Parts: sequence; C-alpha cells; structure tokens
Amino acid sequence: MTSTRKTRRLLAAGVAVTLAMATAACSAPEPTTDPNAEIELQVLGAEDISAFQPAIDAFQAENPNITIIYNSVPFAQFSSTIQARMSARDSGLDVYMVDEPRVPFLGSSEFVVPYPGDADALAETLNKNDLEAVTWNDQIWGLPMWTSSQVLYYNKALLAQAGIPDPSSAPEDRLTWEELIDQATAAQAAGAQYGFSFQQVDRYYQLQTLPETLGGGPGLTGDDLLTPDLENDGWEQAMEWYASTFADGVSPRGIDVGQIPPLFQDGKLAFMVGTPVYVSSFAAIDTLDWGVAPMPTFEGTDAATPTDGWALGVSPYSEKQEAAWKFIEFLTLDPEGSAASIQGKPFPSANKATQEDYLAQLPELAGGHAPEISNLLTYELENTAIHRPRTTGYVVFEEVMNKAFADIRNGADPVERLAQAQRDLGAVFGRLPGN
Amino acid sequence: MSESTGRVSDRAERAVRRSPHRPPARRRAQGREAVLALLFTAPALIALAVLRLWPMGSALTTSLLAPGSDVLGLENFRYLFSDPAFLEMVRVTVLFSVIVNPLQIVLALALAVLLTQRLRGVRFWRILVFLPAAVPQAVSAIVWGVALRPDGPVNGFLATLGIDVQPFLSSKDQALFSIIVIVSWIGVGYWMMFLIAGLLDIPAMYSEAAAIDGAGWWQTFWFVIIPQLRRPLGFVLVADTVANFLVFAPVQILTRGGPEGATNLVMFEIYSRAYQYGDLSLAAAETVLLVLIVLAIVTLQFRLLPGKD
Amino acid sequence: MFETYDPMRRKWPRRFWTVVAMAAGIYALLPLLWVLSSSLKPAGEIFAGLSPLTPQVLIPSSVTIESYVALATSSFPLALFNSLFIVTVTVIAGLAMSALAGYGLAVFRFRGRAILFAIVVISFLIPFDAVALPLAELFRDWGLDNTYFGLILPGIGNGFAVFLLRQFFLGIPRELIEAARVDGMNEFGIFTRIVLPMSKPALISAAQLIFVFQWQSFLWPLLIATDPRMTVAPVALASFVGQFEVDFGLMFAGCVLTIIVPIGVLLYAQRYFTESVATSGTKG
Repeated sequence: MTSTRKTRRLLAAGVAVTLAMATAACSAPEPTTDPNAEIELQVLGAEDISAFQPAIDAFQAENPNITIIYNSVPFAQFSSTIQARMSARDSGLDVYMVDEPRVPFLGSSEFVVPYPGDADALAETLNKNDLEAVTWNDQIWGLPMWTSSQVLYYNKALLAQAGIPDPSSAPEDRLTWEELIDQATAAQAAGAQYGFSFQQVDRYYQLQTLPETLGGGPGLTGDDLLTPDLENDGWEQAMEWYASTFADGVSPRGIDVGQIPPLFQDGKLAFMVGTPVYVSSFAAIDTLDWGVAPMPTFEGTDAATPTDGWALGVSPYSEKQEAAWKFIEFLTLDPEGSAASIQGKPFPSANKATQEDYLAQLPELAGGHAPEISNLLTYELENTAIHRPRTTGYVVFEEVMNKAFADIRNGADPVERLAQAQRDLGAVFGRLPGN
Repeated sequence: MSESTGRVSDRAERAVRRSPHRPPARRRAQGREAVLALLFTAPALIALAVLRLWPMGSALTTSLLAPGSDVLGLENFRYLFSDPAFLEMVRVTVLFSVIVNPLQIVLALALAVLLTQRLRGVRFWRILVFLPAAVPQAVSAIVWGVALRPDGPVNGFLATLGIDVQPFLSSKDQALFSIIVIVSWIGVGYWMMFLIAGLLDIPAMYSEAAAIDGAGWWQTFWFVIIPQLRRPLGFVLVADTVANFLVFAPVQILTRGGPEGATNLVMFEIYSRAYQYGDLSLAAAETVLLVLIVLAIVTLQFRLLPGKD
Repeated sequence: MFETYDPMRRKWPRRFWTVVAMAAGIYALLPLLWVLSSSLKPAGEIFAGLSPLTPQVLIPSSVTIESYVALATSSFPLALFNSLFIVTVTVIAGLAMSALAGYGLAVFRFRGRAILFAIVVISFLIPFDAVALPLAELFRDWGLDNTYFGLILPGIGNGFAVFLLRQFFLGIPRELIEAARVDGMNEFGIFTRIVLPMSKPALISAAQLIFVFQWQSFLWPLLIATDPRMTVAPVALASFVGQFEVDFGLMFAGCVLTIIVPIGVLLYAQRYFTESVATSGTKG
C-alpha cells in the first residue's frame, strides 16, 4: 500500500468516526418524568466504592427501579470538585457526600437543598452531635451517615524495646502530650524510625484540638465566626509545641498524609493519632502488634477530640430529588441500610442503633488488639468531641489553616506564620459576598 | 516504503522542473487563495473559537465583576496588585520560568543530538527518555513525593556519597528546585522528541558540505544544524514557555504551593482561588493577567526568532 | 543528520556516548521501575527497603500479581478502554483538522492571514483548565456530558498542533506546490498527495501533542464524565486514593498498564522518524 493512500484512508476514517460520534451524542435518551420508570442516581463520594457497595446492593434490592451509579474522587480534590460541579450547575450529580463542617458554606451557596422530610423526627434516630453539625439557619442540609473520632495507636514492640509500658486505654488515664513526646523520643532512641505522628498531619481536623484545649479557641470569633483569632496565647503555645515535634525529629517532615499509615503498618512509627477505621486493616497485618489509647491532651487541660463526619446531601440541580432522598434516608435512617453503610469500611455511624451494633463489633474487628476501644469511643463522643467552627467561611478558613500548618511543620516560625494566616484570612473573608 | 517515497520525490522533481516563471494574476489569485484558506482552516478555527476563545471571553467578563456586584470594573485587579501573596506568586512564577525553560530546552537539544547519533539501541533509549511524559501525572507526583522523602531513595543515594539528608520538598529553599527537577523529568524527553523530528529532517548534504569545507563539529552544529533547526526550535521555545506557565499537578499533589509560598506557581494559584476559595472572579482576573503576560512573552519570542516568516 | 562527519568520534569513542544515552534512558526509567516492581509486591511491602536503601526497593521479595487481578475486576479496564478509544479518535480527528489548518495558514497568501494565525496563537495561550468551568456548563447545555463526543472535543482543537504544522509546512518550497498546480492537481490533492507524505515526522510530532494532552487530561473528565461508565484512566487511578488509605498496589499496577500503550505506539511511530531521512532530499 502506498503511504499516500494510507494517509487518505486515515483522514476518511477520522471524518467518519467524528460524524458517527456526533450522531451517537444526539440520539442519547431523553430524561423521563414517569415515576415508575428506571431511574439512575449519580452519587459522588470521597471514599472508594468498596465502602458503599454493600449499602448500594441493599438499596437496589429494595428499589429495583433505581440504579445507583457511584463515583469517587480523592478526598484532597473532593471539595474542589463539588464546588466546580455545583458552580457549573451540573445536573448530572444527584447525591454527594457532605463534609459536615462545610454545611453552612454549601447551604449558603445553594449547593445543597434542605431536607424536605420531618426534621423533628430525626433526633430519635440520629446522634445529636452530627445532627447539630448539619443544621444551619434552622434547616437540615443533609442527613449524617458516618461520624468520627480519633484514638492514639501505639506499636507495642517499639514501646517494649524502649522499656515503656503500654499506655492505658482508660480516658481518665490519658497521656499528656508532654509525656507522649518523652515516650516517643525514648522509643526513637531505642530503634523506632519515628516517634509520633498525626495521621492527618497538617489538617485542621486533628490539629484544632491543640489550641482549643489551651484556651485558644477555634481560630475564629465574632457572631458569624468570620473574624480570625489566631494571635492569642493558646494558638501560639499550641503551634510552638507542634513545630517542636518536627524540629526535634520526633515527627517526620516531608511525608505525605497518605503515606503516614504505611509508616505505622511497617513498624516504623511508635505512636500515631488516627481514625478507629484503621482497626480492621491493622488487625490484618500479622507482624504488627499494636494497641489503642485515648488521644492525649496538654498537661492540666481538659481533653478535646475531633469529631464531625460525613452526611449525604442532594444537589439543587438534581432532577431526581425524590429518589435521591429515598436513597439517603435508606443509608442513614433505615436500620438495614444504615447497617450496610458501615459494612464496607468500619466507620462509626451517626445512626444511634447502628452505632450500638458497631461498638459491639469493634473489639472483634480489632482482632483482640483493642478490647476497650468501644468504651473509649463512647466516652470521647459523649464528653470530649468538639465541632469545627460552623460558619460560611469554613471552607476558606480550612484551606488557609492547612497551608499554615504545613509551613509550620516545615520550619516556619509559628508566631509569625499565625500572624500571616490572620492577615490572609482577613483578606479572603473580605471578599466573601455580602461582607 | 522506498517505493512510495521514491514516487513522491519523482513527482516533486518533475513538478519543480516544469514550474514556469510567469507573473501571477495577483488580485484574483489572492481572492481564490483566501477562499481556499478559509476552507482549510475553518474546522480547526471553529473548534478553537468555541473551545478556547469563547470560554476565555466568559472569563474576561467574570474578571470584571467584583464579588456580589454586577457592575463591570477593575476592582479584582486592584485587589490583586495590592495583595502581597499575589505579588510573591508572580515573583516565584517568573523565577521558575527563567530557570526551567532554558534548562529544559538545552537538555532537550543535547539529548536530541545525542539520540540521533548512530548508537547501539538508540531508538530504545529515545522511548525511555520520552516515557515520563506518558505517565499519569497523579502517579508521577506520588512517585517523586516518595523519592524525595527525607527517608526516601534519593536521600538514601546521597547518604552513600556521604551527603546529609536533604529536605527537598519540605524546605522553602529547595522546594522550587525540586519541582523543576520533577517537571523536567517529564518535560525534557517530551520536547526532545520534537527536536529529534527536526534533526532527522535536515538533509545530510548540509553537514556533508560543511565537512568538505573543513568545518569542525561545533562549527557544523552552530552554523549549519542550528539554523536548519530554527523552526522546530522556535516551536519548542514557544510551546515549552507556555507549558511551563501551566505547571499544576506536581504542585497540587506535592507542595500545595508551599512551604511559605515557595512553589505557588500561577496555575495552582488560579486553581486554589477558583476551586478551593470559590472566588471565581479573582481566579478569572488572574487567568486574564496570565494570558496577557504569556501573550507578551510569546510575541517577544516571535520577534526574536531568527528567520521570521 | 550530521553525525557521519563527527570529528569528536575519534576523541570520544562511540561506546562512551552509548553509555551516556543509556544513562539518560535509565534516569528516566528508574522511577518507573519502582512503580513496576511495587505493582508486583505483596500489599504492605511497597515502602519496604526505602530507608536504609536496600535492593528490596526495586526487587520484590516475592512476586505476586494480586494487584493486577484486583485491577482486572475493578472498573479500571473499562476506564483504560475509554481512554484508548478517546485518544485514538482525538488524534485522528485532531490531526486531520490541525494539518488542514496548518497548511491553510502556511501556504495561502491572503489578507487576514495574520489575524487567523493570531487566533491560533492566542488559543494555545489560554490555560484550558482555567476556562474549563464555563465550557463544562456549555457542554452540559448541549447534552454532551457523559458522551465520548464531549470528552473528545476539547482535545481536537489544539492550537499547538496547528502552530507546529504551520511551522513545518512553511519549510516546504513554494515552487513544489505551484508546480503541482500547473500540473493540474487540485489543492486538496496537493495537500494529501504531495505535502502530507513528506510531512510524517511533523505529523507524528503533532500527534504526540494531541495524544499527551488527551492522555493526561484529568480535570475535564472529572467535570464532564461523571458516569463511571465514561470514566478515563487517570481519573480511575486517582480513585484508588481513599480518605484514610491509598491503595498503592492498585494504583501502580494501573499506572503500568497505562504506560504500556504509549510504549507500543512509540515503537511503531519511530519507523517514520528514520523514513523521513529518505524523503528529506526533496526539500530544502
């Protein structure tokens, strides 16, 4: 074959394929309004599909005319993807995971719709903390599915090597941060590669508790929580301490959040603060001997632990809102659906009954490594859990703070960096509409 | 293959031989050529207008609207030029461009020359050098993130040479340099391919003639090869400059603009304004400024290019 | 090619330059070897041997294909197929359009030529990701979301490719084209039968531009291909990043499969790089 003819054939094929595609695009099925017709619900989450599959299967078994199409986007890009798609008035998204502290932002931006059902009845089924978290301007903007808390994981072998006794799992015998760092340093001296790390090492979610316990507040003040308040003793003291853990080499710099759990799994990290969801994956590693203790607090302060979880919300641009709420109610309010929602991955549930079952199963999931974990979680969720600030400015606030935490971790002067974050926040809050 | 290429060159030669030299009927020819040109260019130009210029026009309108206002004005631009973080971003982006573009072009040219020599397995090495450009950016960023960890393989390698642990991405002095290494790992092989195509297209008779004249390697390279390579080189210069203004994924995944803004390049800035802060009008204003600045630079490059058409 | 008259060859033996070429290739390859070996490691061993650095980094203690098996049952094969299909159509259609436009801008003399060329230049200065939002809205109005057509279109209009081909076509001697006209050949015939056959290296370079743009595209599919059946490989790879855990094994195995395609295409395309040397005698 001559190359000339080949080139021409390629060109012709190109034109033909392009035309065929154009026709295919035009003949796409029209959306229908018939209630008994097949409905496809588009769901977007920040967890991979294995977390949702059991719940989706259960829902589809009960609602054969509804098909759930689940998509996931990594957590780091999740919030920006939602913003992009909602700003573009995307009708191809019906249900999405709502990070609870973002409720005021999403609600005020009209990126989610308020719950149309009986809001007063929800308190019977769902836990109070998470219901509070999805309430803003007297409306409920999504139904909470999972809640969250944090525990301190420790590597028994690394502690034993340094002659350190296992920390107690009782909330009243909580370690102080000062003690923790001493022990972590000792463990490191005895052979652990790193002493301690937060799992979400430069995120507000875990770090908010540090200034809060020292009386520094959440970092925002004023009626709308739109006034930055970072230049106070509590914040400065907390960040000086946080900076010192890296400066002294007890905590690692330059390792991404996603690579911290593998450090603990590989036996290179003595202590890690992280989610109870890890118990099942840690229990699956034969070579790892670990335990669970309460998250520490500073000496002489009352403990605080992170909370807030994931709710499910409905997009205002969805054309299938009725079916969308049906799906959400199944995963959050229905006993069977709610139970299925934590089968894929062991998240603490925002549904009271499911949470009881979850707590009953958790020690077994942990493979005997954490017999007291259920009591601990119950205690933390009831007594020490603190919300993140509920404000329309939270999304921007979190971005600015996470950048500040990353800089402090990498060696920026904590006090100066907080002052800069304070200025940055003033500037970006000034640009929020209506400010 | 040789049959077909032979036929083309025969036909071309015959055509050249018969080419008459008579004055063209200028105006009519111009009109005819304009119609032809429109026919040839219409599909691509329509695509570019709809897929690039139209949304850019929409961004331009957005950039003139202050948040919560529906009056056109320059408020967003005024804000940007009084924002120290924005000015610092401009400084970082300029510094990055000034280093990364010459570096990539020189390395790409050197490798292109090397990999067009008759060496054992040369085609295979070419493909290897190009491969990083085909790796999904999310993965290459993760790989480099692991490689540059304080306890990662790069530091492990340095340790065998007796060099202390380097902080790389977590140091404000080294982070930008690290990003330059990463984007060059991707970019050098990519741009090299365009230069290889250009080098292979230079007829051997030029260097033969130079050799007969007694020119050395460097003389041949500078006075024969480089002028012959001016079009592909011009393309790579312009396209690489533009591409490096758009570096995004490694910054987003590895440094998020930090430490202390040291790697806050313009595309990440635009992304975080638009999609993280939700400030679409400021992001649009930055996009407009970016396009204007790159336009100015590229216009300058066109003027400086030798043998301008 | 000018290597035949390389006097340096006498001072620096060919073997030395071969070693330099190998070194460049291996430098480019090393991170990918880590990806390959990690994709064959048992789960939990991926970060083993990093510090202190041991050969375990590149050599798995035992080879397992469990990541590939898990990948085969996930949505990744479909995503890879989608990417392949999309990129194939994009390259063919985009190349046809860019070649036509590049030729139109290079060969014909007419008033307004500078303006048309300026449109091309400005179009490639516009960062696509920065204007993706309004465009996504427009595409959705047209019902192009979740269609292959909607995913392909943005890759087709590639100003860089038009620019590159125009640069190349400018180098074609005008007499060649004028002579063909006198020969009675029509313009499209000249384009397809004389110009294109002698432009293979430039066409391959332009194809490379279009290919890499589409192969790497991430934000656009995220906005417009929301149905998992329409998802593409880079997005599918990113979805192995969970909230608390990253499935590095799956991600690296997927990455290996994603790179195999370009390797194959390149191996094939390289034939045309050498072939062009034979034809280059016709132009100067």
